[in-house]
Amino acid sequence: MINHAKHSRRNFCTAIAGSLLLPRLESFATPTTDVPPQRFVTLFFPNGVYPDAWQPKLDAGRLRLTGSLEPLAEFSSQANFFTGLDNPLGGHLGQTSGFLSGHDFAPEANGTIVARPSLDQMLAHHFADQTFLPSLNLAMEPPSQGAFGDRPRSFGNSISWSSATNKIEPQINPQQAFDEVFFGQSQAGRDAARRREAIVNEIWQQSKSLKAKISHLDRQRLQQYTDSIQDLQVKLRKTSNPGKNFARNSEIAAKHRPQSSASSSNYAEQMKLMMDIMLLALQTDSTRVATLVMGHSISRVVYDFADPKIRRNHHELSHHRNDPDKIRDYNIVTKWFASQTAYFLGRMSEIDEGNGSLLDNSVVMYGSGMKDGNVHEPKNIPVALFGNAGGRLQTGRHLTCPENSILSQLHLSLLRLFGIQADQFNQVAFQGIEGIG
Amino acid sequence: MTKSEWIPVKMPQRRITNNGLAFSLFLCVVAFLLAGASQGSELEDAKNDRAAREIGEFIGRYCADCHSEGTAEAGVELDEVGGQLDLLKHRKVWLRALDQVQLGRMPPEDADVDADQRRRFISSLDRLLNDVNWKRFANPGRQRLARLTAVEYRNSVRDIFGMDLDAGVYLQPDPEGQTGFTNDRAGLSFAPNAFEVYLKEAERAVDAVMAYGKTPWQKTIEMEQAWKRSNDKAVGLNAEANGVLIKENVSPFHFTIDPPQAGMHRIQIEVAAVDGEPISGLTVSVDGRLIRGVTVRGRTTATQELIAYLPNRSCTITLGFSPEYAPIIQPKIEPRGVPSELQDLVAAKTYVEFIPPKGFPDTEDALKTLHRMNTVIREFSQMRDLAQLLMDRDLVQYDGHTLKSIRKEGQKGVSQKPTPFRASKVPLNLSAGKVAQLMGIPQRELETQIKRDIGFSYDKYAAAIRQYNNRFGQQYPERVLKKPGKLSIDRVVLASHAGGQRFQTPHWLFDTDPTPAAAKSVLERLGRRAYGRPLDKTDLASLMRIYDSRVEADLSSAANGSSAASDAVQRHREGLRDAMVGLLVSPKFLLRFSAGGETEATPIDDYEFASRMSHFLWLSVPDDQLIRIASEGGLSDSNTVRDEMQRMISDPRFNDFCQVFMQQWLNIESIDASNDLGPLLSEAMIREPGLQLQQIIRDDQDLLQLVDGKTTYVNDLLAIHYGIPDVTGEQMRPVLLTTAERGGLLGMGAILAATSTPDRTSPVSRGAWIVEILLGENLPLPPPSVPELKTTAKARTIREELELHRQSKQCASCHNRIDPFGFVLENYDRLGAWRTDDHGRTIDARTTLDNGKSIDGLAEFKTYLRQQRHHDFIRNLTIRMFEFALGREMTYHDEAMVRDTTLRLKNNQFRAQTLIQCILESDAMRRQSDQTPTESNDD
Repeated sequence: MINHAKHSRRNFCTAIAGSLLLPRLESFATPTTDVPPQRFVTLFFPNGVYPDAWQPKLDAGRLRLTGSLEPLAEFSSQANFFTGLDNPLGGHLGQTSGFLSGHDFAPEANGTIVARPSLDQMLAHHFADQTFLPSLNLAMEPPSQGAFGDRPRSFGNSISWSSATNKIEPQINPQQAFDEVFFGQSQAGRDAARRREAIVNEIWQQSKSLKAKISHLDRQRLQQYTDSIQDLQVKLRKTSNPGKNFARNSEIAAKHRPQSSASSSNYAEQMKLMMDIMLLALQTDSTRVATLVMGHSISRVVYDFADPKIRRNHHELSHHRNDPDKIRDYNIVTKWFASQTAYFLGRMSEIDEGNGSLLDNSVVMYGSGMKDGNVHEPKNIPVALFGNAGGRLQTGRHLTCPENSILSQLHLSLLRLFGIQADQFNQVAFQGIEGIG
Repeated sequence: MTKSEWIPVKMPQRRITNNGLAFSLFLCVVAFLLAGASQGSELEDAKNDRAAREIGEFIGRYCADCHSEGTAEAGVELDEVGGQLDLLKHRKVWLRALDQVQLGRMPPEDADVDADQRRRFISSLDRLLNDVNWKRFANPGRQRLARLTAVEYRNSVRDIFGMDLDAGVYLQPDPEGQTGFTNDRAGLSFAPNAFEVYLKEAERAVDAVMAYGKTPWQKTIEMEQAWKRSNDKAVGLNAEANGVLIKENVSPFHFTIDPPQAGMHRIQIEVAAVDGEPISGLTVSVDGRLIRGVTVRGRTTATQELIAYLPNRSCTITLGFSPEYAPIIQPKIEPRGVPSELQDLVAAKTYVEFIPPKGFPDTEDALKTLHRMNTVIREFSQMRDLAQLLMDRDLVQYDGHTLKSIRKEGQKGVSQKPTPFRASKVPLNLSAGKVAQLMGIPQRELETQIKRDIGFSYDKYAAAIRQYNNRFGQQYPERVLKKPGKLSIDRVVLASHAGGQRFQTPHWLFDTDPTPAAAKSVLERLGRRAYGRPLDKTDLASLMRIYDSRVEADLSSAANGSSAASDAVQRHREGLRDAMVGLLVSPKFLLRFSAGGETEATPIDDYEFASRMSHFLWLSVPDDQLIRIASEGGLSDSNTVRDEMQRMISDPRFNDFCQVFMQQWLNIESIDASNDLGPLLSEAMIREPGLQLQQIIRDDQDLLQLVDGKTTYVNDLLAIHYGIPDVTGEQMRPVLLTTAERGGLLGMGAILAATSTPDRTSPVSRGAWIVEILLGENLPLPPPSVPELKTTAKARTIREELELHRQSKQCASCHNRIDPFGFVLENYDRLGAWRTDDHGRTIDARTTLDNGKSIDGLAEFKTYLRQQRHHDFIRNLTIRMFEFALGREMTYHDEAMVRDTTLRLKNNQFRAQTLIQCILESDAMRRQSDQTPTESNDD
């Protein structure tokens, strides 16, 4: 559903002077007989919410969002809020790392850290052949070094795992994020790919001629090496051949790369910039899966840009110990996250895809890994979906799940919603959520 | 996750499967032929046959039910025994079986084993496994094709170009192989996406080199300006408003830079510690990756310098405050006025909650103070101050036993009947349910109480208490340090070309004509170093094809305009750049290719040997001198090899071998993860053993110094930890030890910390460490149903607890071998510091070994090791070093080599260089054969 009042046709070549923000792209996807693809976006915020601040209500059958959820009120008719989903994982790190996988991470005897693949990566894998990038994973802060208790801090910054042992480190630099999406799809990226191909193909020849000279015991190892070369060759071919919309993507890459400045410490602006890059990536079908970690789970960021009176960092606020001052500030930050999400949803709903808006053709999962941050409450975590998956998802609802429902039930339902037949999520059999997928 | 008592050491579970059968048959035939050619007497063979039959009967009768194919209990599968060769092929499994039967653990008691048959089985198996003519089975094997480790990659790129480019920092860390070393070639597989990662690393390194052909660049960033341009108010300006002020609990300061060229840059940070103690800690990260943490000392602005790779695109620099790099000392003096009961409680890691008695003032201030007292105690000084605060305000009084509330706020005079605070004394390593039980309240109520007053879950609180105050640092005599100072950063200066330091511009690369001939010359020079031998025609042609294709590509796109001459130079450099990238991902470099195919054992050529020498001693490619000597055939002469060995040992590059070998052999790589040592002290501890080994080798001293030497390496932090006076400065340097408290590996903090749990020492882990890692014995894994050791509420020392447990026969069979060693080390606490008592009880470090011998403490234990166990130690060290040098596990095929080496060491006073020389002269280093002597299935 396009919000016509807000839709404005702006020439996509006009940059907003002096701003870091990317211009709005005119919706140039001419309506085709193709149905626009479905997208999955996750917006994750850390440290939970004060329970009173996340109270979706049903009012005469309509979803009402108030208090800290108020910024999202205009999207209530496109929303599904959930009550009763639990996320029983270990504290800040576990509840973040497992937000899309339902599993905590743990070290094995040899030191490798093992978790389970996450929902976004499962979907990315599913769509991998159809887009340039399988997924775009962004975050706001560096992952941090050192330990938090006896676990590594860096695990508070990532919600995506592409396999049981491969945690995806999100991109935190906007220019690099932009390049990840568009450089490869541009002329310059194509040239770079061709240049690499020349090197790689020659090495490939070298390895072929080596086969005859090695011991039979080494054949398997050489095979691993040559297989790895082949994987890269496939990837490079994808880039060096012009894909569809090559010209448009090249122009975007050339003209709209975000300016770098001497400081990017402006959290609010950086978040908008990251969101704009995500939107561009989705809109150009460069990818269909995107995640944004809106704050590191043990971040020390002070959200005084949300309210100048805030003096303590978000993590500290979440451990409010019932101090009314802290709770007030905690709720202000919660509301601030909601308003950033509202910005994102608003932009999505302005992008016309022919059969509806980009938001209509998406599912945006917004939430946090715990309820009351004071006690890392795992029960009834704050989570909501926005968008109607091209009409397949009914919206405007507040769904109450039965006692002891687990977040992975939602993961399973989402898999099905995107067309993947499954009875299990990460090897555990679940029932889906009624009314979703 | 709780750690069990027994920290597993790298002993693989071995299985004999049918896959090995065919191969062992083949080997049987070979061995038969070899046997025919050797001097084995028929009598001996007959004895061996009888022994094999004896073994087979025993297995069939007592073992096969549980340990045959299909029913392999504990993963142990004992096949039928065809002959000695079968057993030797799976020697490790059979050694374990022998061990179990000798210990009486297997077969299980109810098998009712005939004592005589058991004896015959043991002696037969022992004979076939150990009493062998090893030369019959000697086989040098080969070094398998395997990629370079991350360390080797970095060093090789450094030595190829002559500059340290941080190459390979984005590679995944290497797994430990079966040998326990990361250079175990069986473990160095090539992951599906690895080639792309190596390609990117190669591009990064080569671009950093090519940056030296560009104009140097410098930029000064005034922090005040950077701050003004940002809207980040979390970080403020310092008092003089000319620099950014970064302090604890505030997010770090990020700013972006856009270097015009990639490469090694010098980053200079002008910083001071202000507003607090004159010591602070700064971390510098680029794009989220920590480059370094530095200690900032002093209130006047000084320049911190580091060199890091920066890309030629926008990147984010992060400057952060890090107390871990500003070590704070816990004063050993008794803080004035604080109840020692409080100190004891916190020191004993007990959960303390102050529940105010009736009548305690409920003013906001008093309640807030009380709240704060009940918060997580991060620094003892904080709690000290608060207790002091309450006392300063005359709200409470301490009578030597309890804090007593004496008056209400605003009330004049003191209460007649002061009422005590209630402090709950409860050990923290109990579950919440147990705690509630002890306190006599329902668990739910306890959890609510904790949540309400503390705001954390029980486990979090317990973890925080555990981290309480175990920091060490430099001592400022007149002052008691509480909190590190804040950081004031005035400006950051970036300079390309590493600021002119560290590296020379490679003129041989840039000052040449832009011709193919010049390109060939450059590539030959680099390629020779990369491959450890001159490039052959095909290799060179291949690289030149990459060069040509780039030059031609540039030609076609340069068709429109620009000057021809600079163009030619540009194209030439681009071509060279691509060819160099190709070199660094070529299989001969990346996989350390060596030609194979000879079934018979044949000598390897001198180039190959040079490469093995340099990867062993330098973890890198051979240098020009070594290659030259190889080209002249010099490495066939053992005197030359010895001279080169000594040159390589004296070279600074030898340090890498010492560090990697010791850290991985001794299993100490990860002590900083879960203890309170902090990164600076951990680093010093981790480096100590390698430095000691390096000195022993360089001075060609006796290797048993590692057991009972009188020197070690420390810096200021480590010296304080060890109680060694008068050491200043962060450089590690040798010291002469004057007490018996330190000396040898067993006194080294890293080992002691690595063999402890977060709460206490673990004599079992330490004992197992001595048995397996130091002496190379084979310990069976613990049975699957061993419960976690409970330390009860009674103040027993861990030793007393363990001795109680050993009263069980089942436990004693193994623990009699392990625990006594661990008790000898009980004077070292969980962080490796010396202590004389534990829980108020004096430490008793006397012990009785399982052979009945009594040892009167650590000094006597070291004497015991040197005099009675030197053979085991030397043999173990020999095997470990062989495994490192060869990059594979040792098997019975190598036994002859190992025994020759240990014999020569014995005849040479166990001098360190003898060991290295023996390894270099050994059959497995100088020859290879395609019959791989391995017991494992291929990966």
